[in-house]
Amino acid sequence: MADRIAGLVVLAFAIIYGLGASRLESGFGSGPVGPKLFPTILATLIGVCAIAMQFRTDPPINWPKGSQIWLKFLLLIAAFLFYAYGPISVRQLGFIISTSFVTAVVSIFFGAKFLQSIVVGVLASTILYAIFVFGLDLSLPIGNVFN
Amino acid sequence: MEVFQLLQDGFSIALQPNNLLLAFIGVLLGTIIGMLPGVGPINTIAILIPITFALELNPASAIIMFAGIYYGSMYGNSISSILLNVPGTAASVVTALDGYPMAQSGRAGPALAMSAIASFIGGTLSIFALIFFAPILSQWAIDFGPAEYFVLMVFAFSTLSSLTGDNVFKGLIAAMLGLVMATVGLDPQGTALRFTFNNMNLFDGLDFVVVVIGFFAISEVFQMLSETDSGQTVQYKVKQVWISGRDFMRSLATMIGSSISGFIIGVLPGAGATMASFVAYTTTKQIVDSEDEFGKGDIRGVAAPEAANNAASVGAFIPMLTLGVPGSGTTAVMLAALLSYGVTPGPLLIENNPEVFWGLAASMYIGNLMLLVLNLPLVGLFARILLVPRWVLMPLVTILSFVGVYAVNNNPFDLLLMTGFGVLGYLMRKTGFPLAPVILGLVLGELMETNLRRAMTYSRGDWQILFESNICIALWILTVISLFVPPLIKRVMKARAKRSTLAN
Repeated sequence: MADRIAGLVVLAFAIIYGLGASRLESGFGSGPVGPKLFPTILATLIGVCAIAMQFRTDPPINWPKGSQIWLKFLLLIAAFLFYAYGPISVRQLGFIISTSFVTAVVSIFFGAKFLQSIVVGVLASTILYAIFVFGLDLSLPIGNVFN
Repeated sequence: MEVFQLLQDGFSIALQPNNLLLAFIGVLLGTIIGMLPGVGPINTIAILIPITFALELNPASAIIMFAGIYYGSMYGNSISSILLNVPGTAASVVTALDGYPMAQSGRAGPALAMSAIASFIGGTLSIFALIFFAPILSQWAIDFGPAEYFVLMVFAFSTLSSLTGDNVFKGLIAAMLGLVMATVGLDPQGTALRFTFNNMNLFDGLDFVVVVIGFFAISEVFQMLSETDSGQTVQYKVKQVWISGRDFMRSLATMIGSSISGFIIGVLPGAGATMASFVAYTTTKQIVDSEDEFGKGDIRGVAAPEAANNAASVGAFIPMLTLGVPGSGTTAVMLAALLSYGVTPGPLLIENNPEVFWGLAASMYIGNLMLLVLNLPLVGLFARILLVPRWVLMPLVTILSFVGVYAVNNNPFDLLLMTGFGVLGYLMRKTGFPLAPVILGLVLGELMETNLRRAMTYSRGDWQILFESNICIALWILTVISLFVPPLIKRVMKARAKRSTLAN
């Protein structure tokens, strides 16, 4: 059952991608085959495979049980997004503080106690920052608030 | 002979202090990440690519380190298989079959020693084969035109897709998803922007480092999160890591045979180290297991897969270096790394960048020796790393992913993409889509399209060109075989494995 649904999702994707490909226009000097051909082939073949999936049955999927896990997933995704954009993002607060925060969240989700997660977050972020910035000469954001 | 001169040049590169250090860091890191579930050579190398750029390494040095991580992980992955019955990577799944029972009966030391020695023999024997076969294959491939390259890539995709995962269609969809991702951005001839949704961040296409880290590291974080157990404890004390002369002599033939079969399987696109270890184990069992000792802690059951997966990891370099067409996820990432260093793997690599090829080959000898010397006395110490709880390990994986992704362009949009691909990768894992073909597709997509368009330009739009030369025809036939034969073999093997586990 899950495979059928996955196949349908893939099929929908192939159709959308194929439609997108059909709207591409060949520019000047793109040869006998333009930018359209390759994506069109891909869309067709993906569609064929997706349809073929409807006729094969695979063992059922073990989705994680319990709403708690899914809540954790959502919170983790949210933490990653807040890390990228917004007031507590890595650009605003800088690598050390912002990363400490996300890392502590990850740590708690993997079973750390509150204090442990803070220690892991702060230590790991600071040590890695030092290694990458001072040791390896990589540039990581200091944070707009400190500028 | 000329080869010795070239190899000598290679050694003079590999023995430079910075390259020695990089090889050492590579194999040490490889051992550690190979041991830990959740981090493998693919995401480690991807994370390191932007960092090696920052360090301004030359391509030979970078590939020496990356290769060290790859074959080093083949040493490390057996440690957790033997001590915990939890393979570090898929390539050591069968090592656990006899390694774990050995540990349970108090023979963890000999099992670990055997694994290190077999890995060394598999690794070093296959370097000879690499040096011998790579130049030959290069010579043969030098006449490949765009049509041949295009069909060769079709073949690589079909084998990888049918050999990874249980369902050929899912493998093919995964490969083509990678190709789809490669079509984002400016098209190869620079005439059209495709699938960018007018988002400036997508004009240059998707950066493969971002995609790989999302697919392999972040999705692994989700995967681990959904597993209920939170880390294991090492129950078995590692005493003396050494084996008796008798055990060694008993396993010698097994190791040599498995090295040869492992190397051959490694060269084939798609098959890789996992398949090599599986084949070596089952054939060895059939040949030598007269007393039905396999599965209960026979030391040869550790020797066979470990020699084979190391040999395969060296063999896998051949198609990547000489044809420019990798056959596995890890070699695909290394190909991408070389490309971003401005080195184009292919028939001309050995000629144009001899320092890369011979330096790499020589460093593999040195690296394997380092691994043997490191592993025998220190494996007990390495095993302690398995005690690191997940609530420390996974945050570290997360931070390193952030650093790797952010270091590419300093662009928060990449973090967004990484998260998205992490979720997609998790859903694909759960629904049984293999991830390695995605990476291969992403890395080869542009080359594949360019070759197709070039071929069509030569033929003025006549499709016939893809079926004209003998090489093309042979490759098409191999493609068809690769799609239909492996699923059959897999079914037979599974039935056989089931029977043997039932018998035990």
